[in-house]
Amino acid sequence: MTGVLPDPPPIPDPRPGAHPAISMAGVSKRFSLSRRQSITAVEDIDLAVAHGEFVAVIGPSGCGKSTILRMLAGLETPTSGTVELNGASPAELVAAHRLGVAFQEHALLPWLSAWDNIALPFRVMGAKPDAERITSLIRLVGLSGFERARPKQLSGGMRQRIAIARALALEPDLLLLDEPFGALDAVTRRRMNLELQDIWAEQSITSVLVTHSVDEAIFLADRIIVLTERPGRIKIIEDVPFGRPRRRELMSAADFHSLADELTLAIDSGEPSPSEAGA
Amino acid sequence: MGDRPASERWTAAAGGLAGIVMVGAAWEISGRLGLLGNRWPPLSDIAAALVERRDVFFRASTATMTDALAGWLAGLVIGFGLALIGHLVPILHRPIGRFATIVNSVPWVALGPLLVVAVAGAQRLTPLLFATLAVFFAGFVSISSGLRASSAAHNDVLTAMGAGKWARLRRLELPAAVPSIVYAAKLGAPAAMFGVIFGEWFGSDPPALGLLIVTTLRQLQTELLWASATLTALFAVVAFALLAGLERATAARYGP
Ligand SMILES: Nc1ncnc2c1ncn2[C@@H]1O[C@H](COP(=O)(O)OP(=O)(O)OP(=O)(O)O)[C@@H](O)[C@H]1O
Ligand SMILES: [Mg+2]
Repeated sequence: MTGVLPDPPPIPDPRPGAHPAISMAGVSKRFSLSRRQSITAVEDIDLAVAHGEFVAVIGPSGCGKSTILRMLAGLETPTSGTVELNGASPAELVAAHRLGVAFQEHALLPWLSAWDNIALPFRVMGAKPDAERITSLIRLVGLSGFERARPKQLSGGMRQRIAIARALALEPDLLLLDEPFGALDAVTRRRMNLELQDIWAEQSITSVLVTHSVDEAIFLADRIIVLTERPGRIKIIEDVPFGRPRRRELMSAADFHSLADELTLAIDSGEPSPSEAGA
Repeated sequence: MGDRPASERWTAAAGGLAGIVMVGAAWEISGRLGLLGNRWPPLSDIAAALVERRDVFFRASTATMTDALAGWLAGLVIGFGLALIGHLVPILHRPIGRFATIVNSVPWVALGPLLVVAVAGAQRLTPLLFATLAVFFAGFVSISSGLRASSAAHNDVLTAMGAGKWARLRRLELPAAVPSIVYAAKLGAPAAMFGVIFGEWFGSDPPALGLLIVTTLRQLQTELLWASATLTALFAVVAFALLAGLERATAARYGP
């Protein structure tokens, strides 16, 4: 073992925890609209998410939240900066079928039943659908009895719940949710939040949730990223102090509400909130 | 379409039936009275000719429909195959499109005699070849765009699931192309009939409907000419209507 051999290439460390689940460094994304015109959707995003952490992203409409998720899913490449998932490129996690996504548009296949839509990730991977798992996911999202229904026979909220079940089908390493409860009424939304909280307390899948609801973000997340108006930059990162498992009663607690007020103000105002100034 | 109330559908069907009866009656009367000249026989004479020579018409129809069906299938398979290759191998997309366009624009009147002279045994195949030719191009164009019809959101989801080319084709692009395939089949049905009849003008054995049309025209057998033409049109319309029904069923299932 003298120095004559070249150094071996670094072997990626497979242990979870050797790399953060998500690491974004100096990430910016510009879209060109025409030859001479382009817009910057997000700018200078630095973010590290630990394994098993649940992060929520909130910010005004059009500030680049979906763009961030799409970069994490490997659907867009950053104009500058790097995105790594567990030390590798998003493409590698995707190729290993370890990513679960539910985007703003539910994007269910209209010719497949609810059951077959949830089975799709198995089939895409070339595996036999795990009937037991699919049935339990359908029960989880409260759609037992609708296995054979096609998306167009279901309500908007039911479709979104199937999309979430589909995202969870393969027990992904990383779960990306973009406004998954956007079409739900307040009551169902709260129930889905409780259910997602339970699923999550059980499995601790690393998750990034984009939402317009501050309450939802606080109830579900360990950390909340508040973005500025476009171009989206990180304005505040807020740790959520509440322990787990979280109960429905939390949503009516006084410190829950004061945190919600503080974050709502932060989204609304052009200036960083006083407590975070200079951070 | 498919979700109209039943009563409305019945009204529409009754209206259609009334229309057909009225046209038939007008035809019968004008034929009887000779209003449109003596080359315009009343409907009942045509029907009588059909019944009287039913063995001839049965054999002719069987020959014509066999070729039409085979040519229709061949045209759809070729159109689908070309569209699929162009879809899977993008650099071939344009060349295949050009090739199909050129083949499609060869004048048939020149092609028919050429085939008969140039290819031994082509006489037998001419009707089938023209049927194929009449079907494949519209099939190719329609299915090509059908394979690209899947939405960006669906493609994103499949990409994020780690779908390769084949999984995407099988799970998304082919199902999304089903309406375009049925559409091509529907448009292809009358086209195949037309191609077969045209091909039969260059001769057929046993005498098929196309040949009957030419010979009865030459021999001024008006009733038989009308009987052959009516039968041909009837087959085309029925095939079209059946496939239009299939189109509605698939649209309900595969449509957005
Ligand atoms: N493919 C694209 N081409 C051009 N511009 C785009 C593209 N995708 C997003 N944008 C622009 O980038 C900006 C951020 O869009 P994005 O969808 O990420 O916003 P968002 O924060 O998710 O908004 P919302 O809360 O309304 O969903 C918008 O101004 C949008 O117009
Ligand atoms: Mg968005």
